[in-house]
Amino acid sequence: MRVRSRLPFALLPGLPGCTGRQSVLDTAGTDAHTLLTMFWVMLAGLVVIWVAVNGMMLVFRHLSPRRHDEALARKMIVGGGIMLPTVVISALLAWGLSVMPDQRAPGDGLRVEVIGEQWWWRVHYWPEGAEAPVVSANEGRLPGGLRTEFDLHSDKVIHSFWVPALGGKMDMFPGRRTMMSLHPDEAGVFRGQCAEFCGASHALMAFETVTMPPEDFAAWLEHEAGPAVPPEGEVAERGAVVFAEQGCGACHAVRGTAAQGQVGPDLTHVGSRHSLGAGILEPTVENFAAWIDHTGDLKPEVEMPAYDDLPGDDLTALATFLMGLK
Amino acid sequence: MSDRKEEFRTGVGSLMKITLAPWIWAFHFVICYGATAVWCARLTEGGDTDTLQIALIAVTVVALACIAACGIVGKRVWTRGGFGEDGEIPGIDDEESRTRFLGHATVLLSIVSAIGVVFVILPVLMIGTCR
Ligand code: HEC
Ligand SMILES: [Cu+2]
Repeated sequence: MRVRSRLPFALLPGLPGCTGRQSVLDTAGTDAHTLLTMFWVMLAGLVVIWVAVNGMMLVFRHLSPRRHDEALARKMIVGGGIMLPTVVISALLAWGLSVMPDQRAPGDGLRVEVIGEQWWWRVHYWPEGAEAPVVSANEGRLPGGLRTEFDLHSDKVIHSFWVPALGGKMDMFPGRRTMMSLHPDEAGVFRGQCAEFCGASHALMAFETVTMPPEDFAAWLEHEAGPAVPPEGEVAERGAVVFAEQGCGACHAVRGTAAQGQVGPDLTHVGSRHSLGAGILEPTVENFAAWIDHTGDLKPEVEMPAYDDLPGDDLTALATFLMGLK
Repeated sequence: MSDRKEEFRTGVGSLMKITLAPWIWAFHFVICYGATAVWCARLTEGGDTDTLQIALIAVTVVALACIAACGIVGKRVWTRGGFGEDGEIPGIDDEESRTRFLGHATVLLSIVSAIGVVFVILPVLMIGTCR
């Protein structure tokens, strides 16, 4: 009994887990607000129904366990058991359906194409009227106060695109396009996560979403479209040489250099991203080195070889070079 | 012996009748989904659904009318001979009670089918776009 009565308190420390940058309860976008309202309304209704059903059980079984009027019982069964659920479910269905088009409303100009890979994200920005996309990876940037369209598909298996703080989720299928749109209304960094099991590193397939004022976004996009900045300093220059020698460019593109590979994420501005390895590591020199040195330990079955025979100096140089790709 | 045969035949007839409303629901479902898929994939530009909505509303009205007819027929079978007026409990395990039961089931299935048909048409009406 003692243990039992303390259980609710034991759960209290879990409450802060409901806020933060990957929470449907801590919203920063129009679509997420709508979904949250629905959640609270349904939760409230659920509590009322639960109390009513259990209350009746208590009354009829324990507080007044005599024979009750049959006509009344019939009315309660037909009214409470058939009509009420039909009305409630119809109302919820109609409400849910009425907000669905909003979650896919046309955007205000910018279209972001996201392609699910194992286990990272190709991200192509198509500003209004663009003929070629601005190519990036593993991060989403969105102008606040505007609606941005997402054009989603996938390479080999089904993934699902979800930024809980901004809106609902949408599956990504190979050979098929799905779309959704998001309307962030707060500047910040929010975590997104693949929400459909897609293999060994599914849980390690995440990304950061940065929402920013439209002017800042425009400036960022212009920079993102440009070539990589040249390495600064001796160590970074050495890193660029190692990058070329090791053949990283067979898989990775660094625009403005000879590296033009398309197998892995575009690294042109990798140093300016908020995370490394699709949302799993802080972008620091140490982590870049660790990633290159033992990739597969950090991400099971990753489709990048580990360069664990590189001398420490070369690793540091590579990491410094990559961190400098702002 | 011949009595039993007669009874059996009535039973099968009504048994078929009670599935009629769910069948209409199933057809309505297939028509709505099939028509929407073909319309959105092949027949429309830009995702508008006006014509589709009008056509499927017509299909829905017909389906609901047929289900209502099933329900009315079922109700007649159920209450044939003034059921329950003097609070009399119908017999058990005789032909009449069996027929009544099937009528009762027909009415209930008609209600479920009507709700099902409405739930199927709701998305077409409320979403109003192919996107
Ligand atoms: C066989 C192709 C291949 C080669 C060669 C390769 N990589 Fe990768 N790399 C990948 C893939 C695929 C990913 C994405 C892995 C994931 O997150 O699931 C990746 C991810 C990365 C990332 C993380 C990118 C991000 O957005 O966070 C970095 C940094 C990186 N590679 C650096 C290198 C360096 C440096 C080399 C050379 C020493 C190299 N890679 C060689 C395929 C390759
Ligand atoms: Cu996944």
